[in-house]
Amino acid sequence: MTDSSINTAKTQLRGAYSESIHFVGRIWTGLAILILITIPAAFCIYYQVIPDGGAIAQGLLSVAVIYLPIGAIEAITFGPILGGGASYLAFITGNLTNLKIPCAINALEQAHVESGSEEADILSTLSVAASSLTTNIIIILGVLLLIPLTPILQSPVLAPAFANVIPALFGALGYMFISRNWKLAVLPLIFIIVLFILLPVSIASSISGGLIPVTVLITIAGARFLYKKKLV
Amino acid sequence: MDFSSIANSTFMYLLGAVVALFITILSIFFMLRAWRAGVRKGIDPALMKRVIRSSVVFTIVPSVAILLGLITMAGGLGVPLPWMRLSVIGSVQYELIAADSAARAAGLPELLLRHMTPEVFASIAIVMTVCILAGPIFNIFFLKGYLGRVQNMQQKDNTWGKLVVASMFMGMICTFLGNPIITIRQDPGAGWIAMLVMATAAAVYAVCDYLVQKRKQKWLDGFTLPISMIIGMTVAGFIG
Repeated sequence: MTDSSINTAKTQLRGAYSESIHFVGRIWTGLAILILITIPAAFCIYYQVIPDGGAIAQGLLSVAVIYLPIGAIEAITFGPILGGGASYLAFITGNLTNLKIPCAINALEQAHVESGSEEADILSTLSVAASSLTTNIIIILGVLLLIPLTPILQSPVLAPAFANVIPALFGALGYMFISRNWKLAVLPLIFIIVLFILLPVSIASSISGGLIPVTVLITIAGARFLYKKKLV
Repeated sequence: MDFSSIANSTFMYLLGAVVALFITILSIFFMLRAWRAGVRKGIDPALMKRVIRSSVVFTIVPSVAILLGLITMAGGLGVPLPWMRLSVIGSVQYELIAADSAARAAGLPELLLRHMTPEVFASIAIVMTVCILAGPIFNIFFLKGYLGRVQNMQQKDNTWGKLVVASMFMGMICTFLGNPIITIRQDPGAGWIAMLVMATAAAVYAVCDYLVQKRKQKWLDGFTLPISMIIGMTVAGFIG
């Protein structure tokens, strides 16, 4: 087989996998949205409840204004990190920044595979699927054992430990990434530290979750500068 | 009728079971599909097994934290609704904020079951549902085209393409690295503990990384992140 025919075969294989994963991903995402909508609808029908329209409108006004754009921006930011299959799966099963994305990053790191390749797409999907199943099992067990587990998980020793899962996770991930490419981290770290020190604390606290895309754009701008100067 | 018995009714638990079953089937479906694609592409099955194993190990600690979030939410919404919301699309941080905002919009002083009525509960469930849909809807209509464009950019200039994706990782991580600063300003004790946890986890990761890379302790590979997190969190357990 010639090099060109091998390349053509590879492209066809990649195309077939990508096409099919987007097709099934869309179907499963549609099903998930349907199930999601069914939950409040089923509650209303079963208990013959008419929801409070005013409360819904006010709630949507205060929450949707922030979270609808954040949801779309998260999809734009995390899509290239996760790849096709893992994106559909992670956006259906949730817990993105606190679990699925670090899990996929860790999996690719262990496999020494870079994001963006088809191999990375496949391994990310395996990682997110394994993670979703594990969380599902742990939550089911937790729901079944809720009464005996509650005092243990809320004990004075374990409660502070579990309150610090996110700092522990990002401390370790921070070392993993910054040690590999510290130049990329300088600009976003300065930006975040200055912003969080100077902003009034109530504003800093309320915008911190939605700040990821801004920091990403600043990091990309810094990376572009370093790239043009041949410093990375 | 006490609303707690409605929020924790058999009917609500049945809905939760349907959602859990859906997530199980979905995850197995994607796993099998990725596995077969990996085999066709010639990826070593041992590598794929290692990825699955390390992902399972990694997930345990954050999942217990999610369970703790469920327990926190159960006081306001019962067990089944938070169970469903934390299983499909949701996350602890988002759900608490959305539920609390919807409850306040409905005139409740606090998100507690004793204040709840079926009408308000239904309204909260609807608000929590609608506001989380942007990401999945984006994926249905735009993900394919968007990823295609990113891939084209990577093919045109591979080094720059890789830098863009690395910058996305770095931007996300740096945002989270700054969060303890806000906590220090709100509650110095908790903030400094978070900072110490972060530094400990980073230091433990550095030691594990050294052992894997330089001392060839390959058995640690795959456990480095969970070990770093657990030791970091243990520090919080002792100090907090």
